[in-house]
Amino acid sequence: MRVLLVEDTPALADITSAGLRASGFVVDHVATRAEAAAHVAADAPDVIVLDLGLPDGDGSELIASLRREGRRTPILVVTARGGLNDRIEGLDGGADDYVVKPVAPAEIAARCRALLRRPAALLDTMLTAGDVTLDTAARAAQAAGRPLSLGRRDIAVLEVLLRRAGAVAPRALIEDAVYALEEAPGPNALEAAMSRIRKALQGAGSCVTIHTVRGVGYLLDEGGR
Amino acid sequence: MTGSLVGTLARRLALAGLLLTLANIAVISFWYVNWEGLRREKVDEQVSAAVAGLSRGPDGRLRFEPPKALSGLLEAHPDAYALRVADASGAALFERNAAIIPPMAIPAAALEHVDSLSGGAAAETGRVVFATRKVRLGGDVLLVTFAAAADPARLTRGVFLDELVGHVLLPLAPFALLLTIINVWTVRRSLKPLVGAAAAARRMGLSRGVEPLPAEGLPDEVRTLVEATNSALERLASALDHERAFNAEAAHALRTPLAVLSGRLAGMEGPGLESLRADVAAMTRLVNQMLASAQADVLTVPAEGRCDLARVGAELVAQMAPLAIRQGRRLAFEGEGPVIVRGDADALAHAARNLVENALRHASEGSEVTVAAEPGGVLSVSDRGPGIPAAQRELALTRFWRANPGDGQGAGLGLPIADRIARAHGGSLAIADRQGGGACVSLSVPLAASESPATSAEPARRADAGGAAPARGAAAAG
Repeated sequence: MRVLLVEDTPALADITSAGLRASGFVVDHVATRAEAAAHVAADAPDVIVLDLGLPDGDGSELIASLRREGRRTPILVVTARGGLNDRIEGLDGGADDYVVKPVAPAEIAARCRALLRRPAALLDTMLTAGDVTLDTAARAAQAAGRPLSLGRRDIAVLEVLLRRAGAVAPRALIEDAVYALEEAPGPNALEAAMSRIRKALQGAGSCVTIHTVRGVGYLLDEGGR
Repeated sequence: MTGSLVGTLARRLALAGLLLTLANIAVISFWYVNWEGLRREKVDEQVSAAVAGLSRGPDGRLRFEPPKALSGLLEAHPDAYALRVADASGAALFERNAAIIPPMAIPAAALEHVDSLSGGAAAETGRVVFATRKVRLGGDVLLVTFAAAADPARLTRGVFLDELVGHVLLPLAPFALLLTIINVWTVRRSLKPLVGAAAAARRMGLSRGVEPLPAEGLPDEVRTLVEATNSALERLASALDHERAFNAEAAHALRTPLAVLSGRLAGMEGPGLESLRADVAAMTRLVNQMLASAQADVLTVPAEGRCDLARVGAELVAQMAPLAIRQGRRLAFEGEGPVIVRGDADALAHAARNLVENALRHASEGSEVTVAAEPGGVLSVSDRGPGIPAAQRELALTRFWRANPGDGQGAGLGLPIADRIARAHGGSLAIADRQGGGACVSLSVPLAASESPATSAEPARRADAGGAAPARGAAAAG
């Protein structure tokens, strides 16, 4: 995977390049907007990591001109300017993701990977978080090497939680994924499903826990950290 | 301020107009009214009234029946008024109080050359005013005489008032009204630029940042004031711009070396590196907070900005729940449907994030921090920590103040940042005790005007918050 890194601070460019290479990316580095535009036209990178403050102009103008040309290359904006309400420059300008400096090279690599496989990630057949794995094709789950005996719906709920492991899965999202339109879930259906999943995980001796975030949704915690 | 200038001027001019009208009436009454003429007219009016009482009976003879008002007058004031109706020969058909009537009021000869007669005569009691009129009724000629020796029934005044209304007030009233309207219109028109400048000044401050006040069309005296204000505003605007530019530069200048530093540390192995990384992380946080604090000072919120506080709260809880869980605390959201306020979603989320970080720091292990969106435009964050004593609440909003200095936690900027962001929205931050123990910090922001419905709630842009949507399960989960 080729990454175009647009960054005008040499030290930071070196560190970020090293971090991305360590994660398996092929990195090309340029320091100005003009070079970046030329490079994109000649070489078509898979993803662009862009610093907004460049010596020959604002990076957000580069985003706008790339999008005008119809290029859909994913763009991760890395900026020092992040503040109360100037986030708009980044995401609304056509960028796909946005991080504020300082950010670890590993985080940049992770975000690049996420941008690259965004559509594909949802199609993975084996989902893993901590010691829990779920085979989306066979509709079967294991924890700590033992099969979990869960119903079809509970497996669907667990799948949504696994896909967002470590982050909150909003209630509405889970309900939409699990229940068809005509079978509206009762107010406690989801909580009952969680309770069955928690019991199954506990029974298997898993380190994975499911937290309730009252009023918003649920969070699957991989544990063991 | 003593009320509107337009109102005051209009009131005073209207009052002046009224006084002038009254003065006009007074002058006319005393200098131009012909009182003698009025008295004669009064008497003549009574003659006219009496003529209405003449009729011819079924036997063909002439009859006289004085109208009620007239006969009442004659009854009530026998010394003052008199009436006599005579035929052509001079014989009286009707006579009441005739002693008052002077002889000269009754012409001896048959009035061939005279149609009417009126005048005044000296009498013992004073001046008597009389009028005699020749009336033809069929073939007959009659003489009707009315005389007044005094005026106890104030007939003259009635005539005077009639005259006044007919000849002074009625012609004058339209002019007075027109004058008043012209006055008010002139005042309004002349002051319109001033009102415009005042409105522009009022609009400033909250939303638009600093803009010069309109000076066109202002009178010289006011223009001087507005121009002086504008030049002060210009200096203020350039100071604000300078401040914003400096903030952006400072952010870049500070964050880039920090990024280099943390990047280098990330690639190193060895003893003591963990604490070095923690130091850099703390330094990064401090720099971020100081930059946010400086940005909050110069934050302007566009007047048309709309956002949903409930969405801000729910997304924030979704984002921060992993952090809370790592710290062994719980985070929850409470809200019933959207709360649309006038504001900037990112800035409000930043303010609320500071409140939540603060609450998580002070909440006791295992307890819950609750973010609630209330319909009145309030986003509150409640914890079960030690609370903030009333005496320290004002202090807690000053920068770099910390309840427990030396515990190495926080820079003392979180609450002040939230406070400034609230004030940039025209709202406020309130610290209170939570029922049952702990603190409740509420961020209040004005609700969006109702005529612009909740169309533009911020689109979900944060990938990691997904559709952390509304409080569908506020009651159920837990």
